[in-house]
Amino acid sequence: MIELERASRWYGQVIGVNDVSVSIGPGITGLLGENGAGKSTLIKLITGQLKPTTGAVRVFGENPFANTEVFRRLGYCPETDSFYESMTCEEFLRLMVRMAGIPKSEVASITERNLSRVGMLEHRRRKLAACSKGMRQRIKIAQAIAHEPELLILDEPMNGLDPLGRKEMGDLLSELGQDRTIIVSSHILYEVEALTRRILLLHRGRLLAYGDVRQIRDLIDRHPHKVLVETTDRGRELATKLIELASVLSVRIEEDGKRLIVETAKPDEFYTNLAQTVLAHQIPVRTFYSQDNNLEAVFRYLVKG
Amino acid sequence: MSLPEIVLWYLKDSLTSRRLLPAALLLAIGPAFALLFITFGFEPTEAYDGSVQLGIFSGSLLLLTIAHAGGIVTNEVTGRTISFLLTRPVPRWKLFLGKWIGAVTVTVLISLGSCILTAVICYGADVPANMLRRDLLVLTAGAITYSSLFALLSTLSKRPWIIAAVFAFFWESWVAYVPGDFRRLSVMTYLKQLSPHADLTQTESAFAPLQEAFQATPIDPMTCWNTLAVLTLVSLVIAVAIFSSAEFLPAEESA
Repeated sequence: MIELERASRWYGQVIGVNDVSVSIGPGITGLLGENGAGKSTLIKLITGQLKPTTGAVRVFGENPFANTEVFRRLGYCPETDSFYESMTCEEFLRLMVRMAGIPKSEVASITERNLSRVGMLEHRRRKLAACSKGMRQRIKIAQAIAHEPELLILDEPMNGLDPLGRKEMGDLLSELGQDRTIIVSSHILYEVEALTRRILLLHRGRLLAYGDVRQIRDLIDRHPHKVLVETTDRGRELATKLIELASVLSVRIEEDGKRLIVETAKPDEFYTNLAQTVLAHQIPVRTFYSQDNNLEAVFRYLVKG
Repeated sequence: MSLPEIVLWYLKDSLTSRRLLPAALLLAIGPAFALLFITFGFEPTEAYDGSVQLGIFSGSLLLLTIAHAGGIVTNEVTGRTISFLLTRPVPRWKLFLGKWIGAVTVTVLISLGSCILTAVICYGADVPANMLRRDLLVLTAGAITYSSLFALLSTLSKRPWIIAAVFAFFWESWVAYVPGDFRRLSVMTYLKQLSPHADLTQTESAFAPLQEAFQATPIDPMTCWNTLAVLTLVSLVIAVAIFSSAEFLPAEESA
């Protein structure tokens, strides 16, 4: 659906995106990176607002720049908090819906449905200038999804939303992601992680990683996984058994004697061994989880490791 | 979205309270000059000539075209709303022309309203209809031509208003005093030629001896109309071509 082939974009001497080749298909993809990593430039290349300096960008097999056929199938929620301030929420959404090519006869009903979808129906007559940041964010999302696009590009969509709003928008995006392609850019990793396991990580304009967060993590074998194992009062005994395993590099016992931090370079093998060990010695284990399987860790390892 | 819908959107946006006060002030420039001239005892013809020349042709017409046409692209870029427009399935030429027609319509309505009011203040019920008709027609032509030029500027520059203001208030008045045919490089020359009014502020120019030595050749009305038409068409075609193919990003995003 989206193809970038050695795409680079420079702003004079400043690099935006550098030699990125990637193919993005259906489902939700999280676009991650620090400020200035090139997320917005990549989004502007995909949404046809920028042309690549070198290389090629194709969306639905076509060059997206100023391409109305691509825009018909694309919804875009920009990061910037800018509107036609004198308009009401409803007027703005009507304009955007009409501009998306929806027939006049359907504009009113589609506008109403989408205002309701983002929880803004009761504020429909409110001027955009008088809306809170969260409300404005909801309207931005509404204008992006209103024409039911096949491809949805959301640049920092959760900005300004309160926790309830984030949850609602997360649920909405998860629902939308079932039958279309969504790219969500964010610098808040846990938000992306809650939506998808597929990430595209940019750093200084370069594509650092793309794929399932766990698969990416598996590739980073020079950084051992840390697994937290919580047992009852037999922490020391369990530690002794675990340190004997070939898959374990080290075991640290926490002060309470119940929690162990195990370092392993072969997490899959370790999980199998752990199950066998606790069963064989009848050591109760309350919980265990990897602290390194989350996005934060992947991001940290890839960018700073 | 059709072209008329874009024009209507522009016109509706021009009716917001934020824009109505400046519009009313610009509408009042010509009539204000007329009241001033009448108060100081000028004859109706002199008062009308002076008001139309100073207040409308060299005043509100230029200010309106700078503000409206100069902002066609720039307002969207600086307001950072351009991304909403340029990611919609509406051809860029249609967006540009729709907004341009809207800008011309607003300029024409205010300029013409100002001219009619000025005429009524100066002449009362005995407004010379032919003269007024001619002025309204030439004002419309001026609005179209200047709007095309300034709309082109808005596709080329992030600060078109400064360039447009220098062009309108410096070049356009200065070049008229340059001897020979240099004045043909000014849009106002053609407008004045088509709608001649006595210039009440005209004093002995420093260029007078040169002007006498290098007499400018007169410009016939057909040449004036053709020049204005060609200028409009060329500016619009270039502007549409640029808008259709260039990138437009707010300054902080393109650095």
